[in-house]
Amino acid sequence: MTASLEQRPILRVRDLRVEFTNRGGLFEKPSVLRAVDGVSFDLHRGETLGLVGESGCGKSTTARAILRLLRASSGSAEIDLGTATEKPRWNDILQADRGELRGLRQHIQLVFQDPYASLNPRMTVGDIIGEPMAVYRLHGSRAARRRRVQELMEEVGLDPTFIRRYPHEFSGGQRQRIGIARALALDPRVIICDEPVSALDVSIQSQVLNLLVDLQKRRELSFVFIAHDLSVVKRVSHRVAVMYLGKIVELAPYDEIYRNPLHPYTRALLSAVPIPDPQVEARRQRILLSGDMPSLTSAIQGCPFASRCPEVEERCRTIAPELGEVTPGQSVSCLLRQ
Amino acid sequence: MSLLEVENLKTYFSTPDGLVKAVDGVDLRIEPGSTAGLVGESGSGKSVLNLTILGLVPTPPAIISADAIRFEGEDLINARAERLRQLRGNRIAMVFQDPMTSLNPFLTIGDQLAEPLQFHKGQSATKARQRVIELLREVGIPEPEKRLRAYPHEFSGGMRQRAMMAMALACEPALLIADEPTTALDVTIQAQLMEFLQRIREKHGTAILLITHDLGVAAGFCDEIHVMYAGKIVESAPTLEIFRQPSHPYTRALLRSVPRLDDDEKEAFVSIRGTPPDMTNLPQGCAFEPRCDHAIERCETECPSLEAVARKSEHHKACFVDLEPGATS
Repeated sequence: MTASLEQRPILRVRDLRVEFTNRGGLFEKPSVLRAVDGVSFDLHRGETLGLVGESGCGKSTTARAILRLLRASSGSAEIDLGTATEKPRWNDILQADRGELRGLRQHIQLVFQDPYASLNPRMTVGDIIGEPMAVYRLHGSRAARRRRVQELMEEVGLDPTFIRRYPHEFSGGQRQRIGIARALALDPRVIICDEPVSALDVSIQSQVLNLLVDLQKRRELSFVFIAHDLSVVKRVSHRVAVMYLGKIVELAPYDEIYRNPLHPYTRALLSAVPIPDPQVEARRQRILLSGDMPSLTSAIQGCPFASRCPEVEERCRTIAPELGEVTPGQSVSCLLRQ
Repeated sequence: MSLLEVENLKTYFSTPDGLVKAVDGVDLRIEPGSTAGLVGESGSGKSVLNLTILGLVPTPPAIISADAIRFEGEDLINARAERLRQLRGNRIAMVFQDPMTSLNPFLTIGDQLAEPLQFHKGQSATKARQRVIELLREVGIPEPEKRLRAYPHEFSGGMRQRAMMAMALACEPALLIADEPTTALDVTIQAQLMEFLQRIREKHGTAILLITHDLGVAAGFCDEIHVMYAGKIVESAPTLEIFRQPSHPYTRALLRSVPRLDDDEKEAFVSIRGTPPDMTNLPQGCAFEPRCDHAIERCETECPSLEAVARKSEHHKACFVDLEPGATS
C-alpha cells in the first residue's frame, strides 16, 4: 500500500472549480452555486483513490468536470500520456480543443451508477460495448471488433454468446458488467467509477467490486472510486479523500483515515456508519451532527463545516482553513489540527 | 397477547409472466414495545408484507390469504376498509422510504401533520396546531412555529423524513412500521434518525417494525431479526443470536459478503454466487438452493419450513442442513 505513495501520478487535478449560476426569477436575486470549490488531488498509477462524501458534496460533479462532461469554471485536470518508463507528458483535459479532447478521452473513461439508465435499451450488448471502438475506429473490421467485444465480455465475466441480447435481459449486476466492459473497450489508463455498486443488492455488490479489483491488477488501471458507502470504499481504495461542501477536507491512506481520522467531519461520518454486529454497535460512541449541510449558494466565510462541527471554535467562523499535510501522506483542512 | 400476529400470510400477484408469490406463507409476531427487523434484498417481499398487513395491497390484482392477521387481538383480514382507515395512522403508523413522494407537495407541513389529529382524534384546528408544534420540536426541527407554513419542497431530505416521523407519531401509535426509513438519506442524517427512533421507543413504548436491507442498521436497533428471501422468512432469531450464530446459509453468506468498516484485512470480497431469484420462476425446492454452498439433494425437491433450531429455542430457520457452528466464517 505504501509503495503507491511514491509512484508517479497519472492524473493531476489542481484547484478545480465548478460553479452554476442561477439567473434568478422575477423576485429572486441571481445566485452562484459552488458545487466544486477548489479541489486538488493526484491519482497515482495503479491506485484507487476513494472519493467519499454525502449527497451534494460535489463528488460526482468533480468526476464530470474532469471528463469535461460539465464545464469547470477554473482549474486544471491533466493526464499523463507517457508510458511508465518515459518522461511524463501532461495533457490538460480542461484546456484541450475538440480534436485533442477526443484523443484524451480515450484514456479516461467513466462507469456510471445506474446500470438501468446508462445502457441504451434499443442496442444489443455487442453494439453497446463495441460503440466506443467504432467511434474511435479501432480494431478495423466489424468481425475484428466483434471478436474484441467477445474477449471483453469474457474478461468481465459475461457469457460471450449473449452478444446479441438486449440490456433488459440481464440482471443489475450483469448490466454493471456491461458498463464496465464498455469503459474498458478503449483500453483506458484511468477509470472514474461513480457509485458503481450503490444500485446493486449487497449479495451482488461484492461480485462487481471483486471484478474491479481484478481488472486493476491485470491492467494496471487507476481508479477514482466515488461512493457514499464508506465500508465499500475502505475495501477497494488505497487512499481516501473526504469531501464536504465542494471541498476536500481530508485526504489520507485508507488505513490512516479509518484508524486515525483527523477532521471532525470525517470522525462524525465514520462514527455514523452502522456496523453489522450488535455487540460492536452497542459499544460504539456516535458523534451526532446537528442540522443539515448548509446551502451551496450561501457565502461561507470561515470553515464550511463550522455550522455543524462539534469542536467548533470562534476562529473557525472567520478563518477559512486550507488543505495541508499534517503527517506524511495525511492532509486535513482544519484549523484545530494544523 | 402479541401486538401483531401474522400467520401463514400469502400475497400472490398474477402477472403475464406467471404467478409471483411475493409473500409466501409468512408468520410474524410482534410484542408490545419491541423492535423487530425485517431484513432482505430487493424483491424479497419485505415491503409487500408490510403493505399487506396495513391493508394497502388492492385485491385484485393481488390474491391474499392468511390464517390470521391480528392487531391488538382484532382480526384485520376481514376488517372493513373503514375500520382499517381508523387504525392506520392512529394505532398503526407508517414511515415510508421516500419522504419526497410520501408527503403531499400541495399542502403545508402544518396541515399535513394536523390531518391525523383532526381525523382520528377529532381535534380542532387550533388544538391540532399546538400539538403539531410540539411534535416538530420533538423530532428536532428548529423554529417549528415558522416551519408549519413551509411546503415539503422547502425541507431537506432529512427534515422531510423527520416531518414524516412526526406525522406517524401524532396519534401515539402502538406500532410503527418503518419501511427503509433512512435508505434515501446520508449516513450522518441516518444516525440522527435512528437515534430519534430509539428515543421514541423508550419514551412512548412504541413497538417498531423496521424494514431494511442494511444489516448494520438492523444490528444496532432491533431486538429480533427476520431474514426474508424470495417471499419467505428463512431465519428469525434474537439479534445477538443471529449475528453470533447465523444458521441459514443465506444469512451466513449475506453477513460475510457485507464489507464492514471495522475490518482489518483487505481480503477479496466474499460474494454469493449467482443472481437473486426470478420470482416468476422459483425452483421447486428451496429458493436459495441454486446459490447455496451447503445444499443437499433434498433441497432441490422439498421446500424447508421455518422450524426452531433446537427445542424451545427462539431461533428459527428454514433449512434442512445444520451448519457447523462458527460465526460468520
